[in-house]
Amino acid sequence: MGVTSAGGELRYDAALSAWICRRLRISRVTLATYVFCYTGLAPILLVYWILRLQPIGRTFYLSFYDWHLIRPLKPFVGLGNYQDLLQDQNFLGALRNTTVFAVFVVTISVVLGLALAVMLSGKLRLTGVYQAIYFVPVIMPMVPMAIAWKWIFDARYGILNYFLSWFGVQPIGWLTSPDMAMAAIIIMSVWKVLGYNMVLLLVGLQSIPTIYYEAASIDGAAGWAKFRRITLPLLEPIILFVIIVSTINAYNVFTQVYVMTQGSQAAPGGLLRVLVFDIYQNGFQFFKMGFASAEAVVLTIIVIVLTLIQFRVMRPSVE
Amino acid sequence: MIGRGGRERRTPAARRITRRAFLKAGGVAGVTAAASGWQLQPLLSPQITVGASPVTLNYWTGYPEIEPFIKKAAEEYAKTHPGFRLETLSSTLREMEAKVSAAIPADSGPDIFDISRTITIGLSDADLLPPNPPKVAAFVKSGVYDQAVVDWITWKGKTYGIPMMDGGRENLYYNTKMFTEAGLDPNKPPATFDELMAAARKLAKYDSSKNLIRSGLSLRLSGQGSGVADKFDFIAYAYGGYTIVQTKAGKWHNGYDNEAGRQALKFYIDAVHKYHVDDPKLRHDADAFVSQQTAMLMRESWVIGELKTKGPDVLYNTAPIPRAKRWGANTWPYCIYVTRTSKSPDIAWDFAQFMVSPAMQVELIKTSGWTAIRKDVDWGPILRETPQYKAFLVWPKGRGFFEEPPVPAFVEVQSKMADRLVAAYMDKSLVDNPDGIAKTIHATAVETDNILKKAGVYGAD
Repeated sequence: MGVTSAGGELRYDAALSAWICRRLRISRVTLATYVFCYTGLAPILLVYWILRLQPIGRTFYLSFYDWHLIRPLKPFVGLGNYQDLLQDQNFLGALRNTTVFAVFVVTISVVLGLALAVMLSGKLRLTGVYQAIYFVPVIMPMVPMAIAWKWIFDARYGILNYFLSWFGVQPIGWLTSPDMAMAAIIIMSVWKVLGYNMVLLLVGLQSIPTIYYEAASIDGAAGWAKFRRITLPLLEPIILFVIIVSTINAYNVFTQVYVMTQGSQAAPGGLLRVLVFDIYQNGFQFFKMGFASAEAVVLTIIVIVLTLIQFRVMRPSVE
Repeated sequence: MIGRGGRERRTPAARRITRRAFLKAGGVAGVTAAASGWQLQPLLSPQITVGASPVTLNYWTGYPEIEPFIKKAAEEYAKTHPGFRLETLSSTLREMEAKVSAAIPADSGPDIFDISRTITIGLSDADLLPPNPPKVAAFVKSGVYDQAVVDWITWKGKTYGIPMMDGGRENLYYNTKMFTEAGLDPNKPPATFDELMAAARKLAKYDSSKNLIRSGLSLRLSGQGSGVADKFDFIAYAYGGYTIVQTKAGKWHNGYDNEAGRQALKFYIDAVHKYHVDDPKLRHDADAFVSQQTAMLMRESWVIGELKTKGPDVLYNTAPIPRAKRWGANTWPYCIYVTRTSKSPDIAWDFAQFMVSPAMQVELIKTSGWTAIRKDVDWGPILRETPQYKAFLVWPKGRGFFEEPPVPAFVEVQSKMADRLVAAYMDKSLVDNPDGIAKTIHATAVETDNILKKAGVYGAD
């Protein structure tokens, strides 16, 4: 079917659109709406494809190759990189550290965030100011903040040890001590995300209709009972969202660990190894892109599985 | 003449005119060029001419502290080569290694760059980096460098890059005022590791609660990366070991699962836990020496530059790192390379060669504090001005060099070794525990060998 003239093209378009409408069982107006919407979305989808989907697909692809950045030969190794991962002590250590980090950061930041949100949702003076103060760390860039915390944790000159010295506590090597380094990173990370969790939970709290609390008061319910029977159940969708986002972010922890393990006054790199740091090191320091891609795939799967579990655990009451 | 489709068509006459005009323009250009002096240049002159059109080259460096030197060199070069401009980009060494490794294979790198050999070996192997052109190869072999340096830049019979500075050559910095106060002779720095530990014990200072407030010797105890393993090797080498050693067949295996490695780890454990002359809670490295929170430090020459700017009042001297079974220091020739995609490779190579001219070698030390590497330069003026450079520039008889092996997996070996060493340094149970030390060293060495196996370069004697 050739199109040789403008008139022919018109006839062709009309025939084609009629054929599509028949197949999809939609009107011409609906088809025009679809065409308009998808044409408008096309540039965004293209960018999304180039910047998101294509790199993810490429990461999966590379994970099956012994892909060294410089070496010209990049042989196919099938699941070889994944088999190596299971025996790699650095990866297993990083997985363990990341999980410990995620459990503590998510638990502490959600519980503290909820407590702060409850306090600030009451009729306090200067509530807005407190909200802003708690939210400031969220908008601060991570690198300068991590450097600042490196100084706060400094055993000799750090302000944290200075405060503790008022209570007779001997100087603690927050970053250099194997027992304290992870705790130090957790403290810093909770400080950074606390405001974000608090704001989300605060919005959730404020969206709960007061009528429920009034009814509960009439029934004789007090503070804790109201919180347990009304606030928590109605806040569950928000709590679920906060936990999922916090978990994903916690498993992707990198910047603060990278900054705090650099230099002679830094935390021990091996003891604080986390998954993204291990991926970065294998990919961009050792140039083992295939192996690093396999780690990235495993990280993606872990995060997806955890998210699904969280949905499953909380779904009945959310619905 | 208008043809079908509305396009203008040239008649044969018009084409002839165009050709004639072109030839005429070429002739005029030739005459102009001759008149402006081009004809005075010999046809095969070795001198590079930037010429009438300006040339802008890009330079990437993995040492931000030498960027001012590079800019200064470009300014000097432009005085004799009008139209020459250089744009520089610097980042930390590891970041630059990643950047170069990604950019060069994709032909999106700069015209000139400096980087460590572990990266360029891989690039050379894959024919991604051109070897030195004949003129440059002849220069580097002309006797201006030690033969060890020439061997270091030679890969499969060809030389790559022009050595600019030595990123190694570590020496002992010691605070002469503290030496005098502790009853030590500042003109007699420690010559053995036993003397070093004894001096550190005298120099260490404690408060009333026996907390260390000034370290006798600042060691690299924490952090991550190859720097930790580098410093471990200062001691392991002296006792006869090294991270990896080569077999007769050209393969590699760990060189520290032996008495040397155990001695080196014991030295660290004793320093931190047994004699407590260093403590991870204190400031470390150049910061500590500049702020007089340590009495001794083993480091490269750049610390002299730090002391000039940040600690001009510190009274100090330098001496070779002590000896045990062997006496030596790491040499790490750091080179300038030109990429295969350089816009003007002749000018790039000429500028690179200018950067290592005797005058620029002196300028490098003055500007950055790093040790220049040519052996035919008169260091007299520098040594008169800053005598502490003597330990770096004048090599005593009997003191050797050891060099980073040409194994691309070496960075991974050192990084993973560093993780284990840092954990071991904090392990109090290793005090007076030779079995524990042996086990720790063995486990670390097994990992080293496994990395070499995976990289396909492992072999045992």
